[in-house]
Amino acid sequence: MSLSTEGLLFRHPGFRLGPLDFTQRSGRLVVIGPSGSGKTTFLRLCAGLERPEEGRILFDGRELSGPSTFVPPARRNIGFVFQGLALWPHMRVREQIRFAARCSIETAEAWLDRVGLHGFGKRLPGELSGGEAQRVALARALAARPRLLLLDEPLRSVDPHRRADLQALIRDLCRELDIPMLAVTHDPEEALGLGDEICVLEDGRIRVQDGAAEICRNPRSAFAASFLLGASLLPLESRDGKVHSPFGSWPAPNGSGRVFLALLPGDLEPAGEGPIATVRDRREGLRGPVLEVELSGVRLLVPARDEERPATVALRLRGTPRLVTGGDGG
Amino acid sequence: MRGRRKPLPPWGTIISLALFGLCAVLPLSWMFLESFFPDGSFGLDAWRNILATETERLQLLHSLILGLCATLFAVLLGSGLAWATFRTDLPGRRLLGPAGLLCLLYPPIVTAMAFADLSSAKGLPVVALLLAVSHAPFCIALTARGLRSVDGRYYEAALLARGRLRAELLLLRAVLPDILAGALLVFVFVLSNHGVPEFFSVKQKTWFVYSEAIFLRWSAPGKPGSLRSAEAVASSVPLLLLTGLVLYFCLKARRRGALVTVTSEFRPLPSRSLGIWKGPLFVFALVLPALGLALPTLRMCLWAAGSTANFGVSLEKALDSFRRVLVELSPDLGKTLGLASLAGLLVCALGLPLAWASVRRKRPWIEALGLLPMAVPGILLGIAFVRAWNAPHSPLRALYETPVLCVAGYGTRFLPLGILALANALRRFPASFDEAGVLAGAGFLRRFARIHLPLLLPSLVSVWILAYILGLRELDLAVILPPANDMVARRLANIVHFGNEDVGGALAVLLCFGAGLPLLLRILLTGRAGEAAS
Repeated sequence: MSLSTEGLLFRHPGFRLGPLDFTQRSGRLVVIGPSGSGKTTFLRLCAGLERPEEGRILFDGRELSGPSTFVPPARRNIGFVFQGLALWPHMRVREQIRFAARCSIETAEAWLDRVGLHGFGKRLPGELSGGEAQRVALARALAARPRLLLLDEPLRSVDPHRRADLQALIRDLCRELDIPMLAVTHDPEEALGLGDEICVLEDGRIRVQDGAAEICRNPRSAFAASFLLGASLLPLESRDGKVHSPFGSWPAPNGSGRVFLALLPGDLEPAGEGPIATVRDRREGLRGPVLEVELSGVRLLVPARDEERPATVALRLRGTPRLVTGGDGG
Repeated sequence: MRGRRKPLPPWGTIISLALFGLCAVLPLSWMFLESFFPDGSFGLDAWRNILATETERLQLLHSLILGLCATLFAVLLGSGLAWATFRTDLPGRRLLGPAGLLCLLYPPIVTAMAFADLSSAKGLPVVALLLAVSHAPFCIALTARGLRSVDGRYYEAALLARGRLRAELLLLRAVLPDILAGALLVFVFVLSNHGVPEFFSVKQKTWFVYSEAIFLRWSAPGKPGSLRSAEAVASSVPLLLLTGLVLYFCLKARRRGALVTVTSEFRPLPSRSLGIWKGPLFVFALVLPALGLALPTLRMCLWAAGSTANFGVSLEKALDSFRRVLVELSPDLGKTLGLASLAGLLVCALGLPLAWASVRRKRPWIEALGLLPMAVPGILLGIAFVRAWNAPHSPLRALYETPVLCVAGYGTRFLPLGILALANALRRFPASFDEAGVLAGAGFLRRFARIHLPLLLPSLVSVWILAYILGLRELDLAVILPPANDMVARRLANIVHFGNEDVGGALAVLLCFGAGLPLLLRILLTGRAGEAAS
């Protein structure tokens, strides 16, 4: 069971999403992008809460939206956890589940047990913490046994130390119930924690879509490397089918736009010889002291070797270079 | 499952718009069309003399001055009271706020009579003050709503960044749309009020307002009805344009006022210590409840107890007055309470679908159109009903002499308030509440019954109470519509005019009690005085 789109286009004044051609390849897909990139609109289109201007949305091969088809949201059998959760403030927790799933009190209570909220059935949404409310919204969305679960910023209102629990809960429930999941978020940690597959959205366009592990190894897009992995981007020169950096030359990668070397903390280390970077600062990092250095106008972090702060440092690249392409490296 | 499903027509909206057309658009259009055919053939005689005389221009000027002065007083007293009770540690603030709102319980004419009994002052400032006191509750309610909707963190951020004065100015700017909306409502109601200025004419007033002139044209003896109507319509145009313009700004101000949704993380504004100003502000906060609630109640009770009959005040006389009212006027009292209740129901029944269509179906013109009955002075709306429902071949003529005309008239008059309040309530709930229900597979009726109705119920009850109270106070329509001639507000004016102050006093107190009863019930049931009152 998977979701796919063909030439999906949605426009309103000042905003454009698509055209998107996309296929969900794994059971847990996370769409990540900055605010205003069209993540929530994409989910709403999938749920049928907005109508696309052009293109098709298919689920399991069946057309949900198309030029002559529009399955109303109520008949799509899709579970949706809204960004603001949309828990009805006057309705007790178990009533929220009963309303959505048309089930008995016992079933609703069983769902609450399942999301770790035993005995919360008679509470009102206003009496719940952010994490508890999130679990209720999740139970409400899943209780009707949807064919697809859509989550809009699912961990936004959850304390950082509770996020791992909730991530595990979402993953486990989707696996147990065999329900594919599509989540959107702007938080890289959340995306990598939830999804087997990541899709990076920028300005309404998909920049890259790949498995979570693969995208970490080779983000391909400069935007994905910068936004998802927090990499620093060193601009490279392209000449004679090769790209040239202070660390060496490599065959130019496929893809349009300028080529960058994506550098994560730990990719560079001080060495006896190599490109010389100017040291700007020295501070304590989580894994020991680090130097903030500047190379070709780009600020980078490298591990500090000794107690002193040198004026310059020679650098060496560790491992395989991550070459990415993109507009301006933003 | 496949195929484009044809969406169901929005029957609620269609039926409500049809009823609105029948009650507001049709009578007003009919009346305006008729004004071009005063004697059966086309003629512009009635329209040629708009503001032609110096007297008319002066009357319009008086109306404007009266409206502006009353609005100024209402904002000062009403918004000031709301600020004092909501933002400060004023002693007794939990009672003073609702007490200020209770000024709405007495018809303006009763407040005027009580004041006239106490003082011989009769100038324009006095009339402005009395009308301000009667309408200040609009300013209280809207200012309080504005203050409630401002997140305290905005205020605290300004306080930390720029100090107390800047923070208060920022707060004022945030609440200004609500204060302005309240002020504009007061202005519109005062402009169309002709009862109080006319009452002071009896007390040898030497100036007249424009709404009095419209009424005089309508009631001029010796002219056929269509000609009187045509002249009244034509002469109302300047006032109509003025109120229309004011209501346009009111609508804009109200829309800006919707600052917060129920799901926002929200911190109420911090309360401010008054320090040495506690005493003076307490006295200020007493002014409105004293003038608008205590004074009429006291004077009316004294009237009922025989204070004007030269036999001295006695409990026996008071009991006798109340007994007489209950025996002789209970049918009128019952009819008034019943019709006001039904008018309130009509306001809710029409207001909700129209507000829904405006907000949820994104048809803002419906909200603007819904203001039409308020842009028209009450007198003119009454004339429109008379002309349209009593036209020779009108299918509505069968209902003309029945209470249906009253319910339709009163309901239409206060429908704009219902639409505004319910549209605002709907804006507070995010669309995702409904969308969550849609995705759960619930049909419209199930979503409405389980999600929207419980959320909107407090607003619906408030709208009903408001329309009910305003219906009890309404004098303009009671004067014009024949089946409403025995409504208590009109009876009261007549009884006092003919010197039966004892009965009038008892009737006014009972009317106030009848008006306050639903409010009291709501407070008892919900246990939240301030919220219920607003």
